[in-house]
Amino acid sequence: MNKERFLEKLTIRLQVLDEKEKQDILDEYALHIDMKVAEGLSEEEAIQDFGDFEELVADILEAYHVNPKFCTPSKVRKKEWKSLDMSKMKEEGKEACSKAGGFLKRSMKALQKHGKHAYTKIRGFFHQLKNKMKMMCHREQKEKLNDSQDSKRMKGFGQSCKRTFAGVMRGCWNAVCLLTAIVFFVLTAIIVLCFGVLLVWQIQGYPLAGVTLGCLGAILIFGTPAVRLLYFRKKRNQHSGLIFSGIFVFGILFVGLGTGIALKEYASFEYTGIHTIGNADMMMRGEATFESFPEGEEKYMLHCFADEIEVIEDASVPEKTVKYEIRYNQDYVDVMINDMSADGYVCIAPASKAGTGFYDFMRCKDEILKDFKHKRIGTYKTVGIEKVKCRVNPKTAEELYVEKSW
Amino acid sequence: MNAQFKKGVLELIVLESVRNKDMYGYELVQEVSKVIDVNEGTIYPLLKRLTNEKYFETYLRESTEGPPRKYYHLTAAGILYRDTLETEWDEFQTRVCRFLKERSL
Repeated sequence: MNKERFLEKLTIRLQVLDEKEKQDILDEYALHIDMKVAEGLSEEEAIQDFGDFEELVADILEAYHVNPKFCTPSKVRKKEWKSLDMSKMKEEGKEACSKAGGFLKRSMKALQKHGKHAYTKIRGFFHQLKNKMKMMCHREQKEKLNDSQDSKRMKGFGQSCKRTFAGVMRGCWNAVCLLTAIVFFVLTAIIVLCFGVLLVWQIQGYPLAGVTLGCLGAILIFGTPAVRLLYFRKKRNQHSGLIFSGIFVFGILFVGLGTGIALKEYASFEYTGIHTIGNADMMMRGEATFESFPEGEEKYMLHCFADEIEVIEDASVPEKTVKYEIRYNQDYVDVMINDMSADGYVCIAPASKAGTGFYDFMRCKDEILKDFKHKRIGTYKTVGIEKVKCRVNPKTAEELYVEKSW
Repeated sequence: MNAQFKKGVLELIVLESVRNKDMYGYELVQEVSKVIDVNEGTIYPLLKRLTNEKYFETYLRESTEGPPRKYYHLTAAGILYRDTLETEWDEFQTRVCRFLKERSL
């Protein structure tokens, strides 16, 4: 083996290593061979001094903490083939062809043997079926048949039908088992996922002990049949049956305990009423002067979409005028004023900002989780326009109709 | 010499060889071969392992006779490890010698 071939073989056998590391060690060997050659040795002699190639490869792989068993020649043979010289390829080709030929020969023999057997069976079955049909169609002929022969044939046909029916039933049963196992397996996987999440939350201090325990029980309940159907269906023994039954019963017990604990936990929750989330810390002021009543009405109309409206009579305000102060949450809404005071109508309404759905959700989520952790629950709402304060002249106060929505 | 014996002391010999002077792979192989007859190929994986375990540091140095050579330098951890191995070796060979002497009397 010359240097080039040696390095080529080594490259193939060390392909499990990182490219840089592999090149590093190959460089070492290449340099070593070069220096030996410079001293007057041939490449072959230099390589012989490395000892057994397989041992060398094993030593190198061990140095990288790689198990040499996983880089055996058979595992890298496919790539190695490409780099073999023609004579070796020819030899290995012959060997492989011989093996493949032997395998094909054995396969053909087996196929011939089993095929013949199957063919005989199928032919017998159809033959019996044909006779049966004949018998059914020609009852008169059937009567002439020898009683013993008839009974014998019928018996054979009956057994064949029985075997076919048993095979079909077995197939159906296997399919049902497999489908059930898959469904149970998927369910178990989902519950395991939930269990993991709940466990983390439970550790964080949320009152989820009951639900987590129930989840564990559900894993045992669904997981046991899945494992039994998938792996132990054909390996039944008394002990495995007992173990699986025990695990299943424990699963039910855990679900029961979990439900009890959860009910106890959640029944003790305290209701804390309505929580307004967010701060109405922005103020807007304005005024509107009415000129005529709206069509068909006898009062001016102020329509407010707010949690609270306050009307104050103030002599300093001009007649037929409304001065308003709006307190609102600027993070959540913009205030939209539809001033049609010339026609006797003013509307103050919140306009949701873009993305406030997420704002709403996040603010409520924080509040809900905080309360949940402390075993409390309430009703949560985000404040938009908190309050509208209106000032009107006492003389024209009677002419104003304030309508509140929400 | 028994292959297992060689394997056992190879690390100590390699570490000792590099203690006083940084060496490149081939030089180190020659040095070790003076002490024990060992397959030259097996020393490189050992060097690699000792380097991975931080007992050696390596650096490249230009050579007038060919490509740059990778030199091995013994680290502080390598010195400690070498000392440990030497102590163990001394104790081991003393015990074995004593045992053999006792038996031969």
